[in-house]
Amino acid sequence: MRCERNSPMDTVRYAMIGCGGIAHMFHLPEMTRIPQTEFVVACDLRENRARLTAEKYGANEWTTDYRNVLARDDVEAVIVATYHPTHAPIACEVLEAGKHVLVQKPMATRLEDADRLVEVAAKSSKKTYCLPFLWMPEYELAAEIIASGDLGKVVQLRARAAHDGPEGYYAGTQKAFHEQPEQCVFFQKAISEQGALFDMGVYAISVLTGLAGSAVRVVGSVKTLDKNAEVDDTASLLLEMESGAIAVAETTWCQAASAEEVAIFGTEGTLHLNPCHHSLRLYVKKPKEGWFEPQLPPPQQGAAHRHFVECILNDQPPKPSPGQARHVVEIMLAALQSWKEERWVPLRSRMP
Amino acid sequence: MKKYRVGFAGLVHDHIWGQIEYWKAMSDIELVAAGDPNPPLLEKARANGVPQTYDSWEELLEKEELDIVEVATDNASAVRVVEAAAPRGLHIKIEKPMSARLEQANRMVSAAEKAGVQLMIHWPTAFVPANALMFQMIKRGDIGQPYYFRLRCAHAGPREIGCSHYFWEWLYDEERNGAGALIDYCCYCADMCSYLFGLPQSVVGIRSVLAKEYPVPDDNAMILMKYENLFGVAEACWTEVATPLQPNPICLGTEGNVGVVGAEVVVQKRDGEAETIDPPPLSEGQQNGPAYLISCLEAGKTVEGQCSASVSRDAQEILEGGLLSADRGEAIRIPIHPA
Repeated sequence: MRCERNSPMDTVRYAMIGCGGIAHMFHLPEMTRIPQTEFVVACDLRENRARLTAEKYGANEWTTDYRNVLARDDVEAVIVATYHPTHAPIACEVLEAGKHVLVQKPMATRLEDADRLVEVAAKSSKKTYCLPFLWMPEYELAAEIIASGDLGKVVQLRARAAHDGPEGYYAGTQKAFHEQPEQCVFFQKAISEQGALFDMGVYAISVLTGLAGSAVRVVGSVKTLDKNAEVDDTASLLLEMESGAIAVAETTWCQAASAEEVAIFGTEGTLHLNPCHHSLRLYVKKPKEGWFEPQLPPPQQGAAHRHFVECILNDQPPKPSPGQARHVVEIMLAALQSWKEERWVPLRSRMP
Repeated sequence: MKKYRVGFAGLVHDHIWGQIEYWKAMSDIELVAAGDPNPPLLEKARANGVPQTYDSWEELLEKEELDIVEVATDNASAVRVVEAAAPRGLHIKIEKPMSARLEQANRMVSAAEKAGVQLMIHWPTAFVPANALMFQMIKRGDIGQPYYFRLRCAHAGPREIGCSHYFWEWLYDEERNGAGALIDYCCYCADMCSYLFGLPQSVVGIRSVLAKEYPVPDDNAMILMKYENLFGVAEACWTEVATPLQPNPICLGTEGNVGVVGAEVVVQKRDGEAETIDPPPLSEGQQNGPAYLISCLEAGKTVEGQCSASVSRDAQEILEGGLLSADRGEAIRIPIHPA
């Protein structure tokens, strides 16, 4: 990793707030692969999770109160992977404590929280990096192809991100921590506030806005079709993009087989991208008409977290920016409003 | 078997030429005459084995004794043919979709019911073996409770793919077609959803002219159908260069997914590998529109399924809702109440 920072501390010392499944399946395995990082403290409301996480990933300390993390001088960055509604409020506190923050998706479940995080991030000299991270090679290439004009004018897009539900994953997490089984927190409105739209639909919408720019209005169907959940398990959204293109974003927790799919239809070509299979297929008219499968670099383990650490060490702004993540939150909330009010809902924010 | 005398009212829907070939291939069918104001189309009809021609469909109905009339006018005109033909006791077969607007479809169903004649709407997708197998699998619960259905219909545009100007002239006319791509290409998904799941609770639509540099009502459109336990998505595009070889249509259920890829059905059950199935051929009397209509008449049965008047009428209500939604910016509840 390139490091241009002339700092006495070229190692990013970080803390983990929220030591559930995503911390163990994603954040900590990826962060510990990066040599320029040091895991300092694990934090979770459940003592057993904080303690076992610290032991497993080599942190010297653990705590059940995140304010203890914020008070520490030896923590430079914090990963926030708590319950969805608490992401943005805790991230604000992290920034105000003078630390960089990586925010698990979704950035927020309420617009006022997203707005506040954007505002605090703008005032802070520290990095704010809101997942999902999309700049894997296939997305980078897709963005380059769109920018090159090879697809002509993009008129329609579709993005789907789905799996068969978080309950198995959550039960596995509980088992790993030797906990008594309890109802999946993803299904509890009092804890998670939102369902599949915010949990998985956020990927599809982030892809659409990442590749095609801002949306100007949205209409959505957001329902609980199969899961015994207090929140939605399935959503389909129609979006009108600022470019005029029509897009559909789809998600569900009910899909028997996991699926992510992105299709982009332009006047001069078609692009189909399957992140699960690490594949990108492209049809263009010129210079030679036909389908092509451009060579992609191998999948990059840890790219999202390397990006975060690189941004800290090289003093670069992370992407997506907080403003982009906020636009995605506004789209999801507008889709819920649209579902209740049975109408298209205009969006007031645009991608920065 | 009775010999059926068939006439053709209008020749400006390009699908008609394929249907004439099916009629010609059947025994006990007599192609009688065609009526259309375009001399080149009448000449083409004669070259394709239709012996007599008239300058209008009205003259055709006036002068010929027919058993069946096949309607290939623009969408908006079909209702007048039906209202003229049904009281004469003619069975009627119409190219998809049955009309430009819901009010016309309602009148057509009413006229056919009052006269006691068959009203069949010809959907080419109803005679695709892979679609038939996929729909059987959905209906018998092979993928559990369906919760999502999508069909994308797309090409580069009627003019660009070589449709006759008689065809695209009215496809590009809001009043004669009903809309643009929204009516022409969302209709297939609307018919499939109507057949498989009935009427939705509400629909939302969007349509735009995004790429055509000549006047069209819309060249890209989508309709989202909301059911109690299912979403349907109709995607329509007249500006497409190429469609990825992905399942289309696709239906997702609580126990698996099923879709059509090329001429095959691909099914994936929970925790299982994807299985590709070569569908069996359609049974006799089910292989194309003319054969199906004759099989119904011979058996004394009403046209059923995707081509039935009731399912096609419901598809028209979905389209009407999508159109109103796109133009008003609001969801449209089904059934649609007149404004």
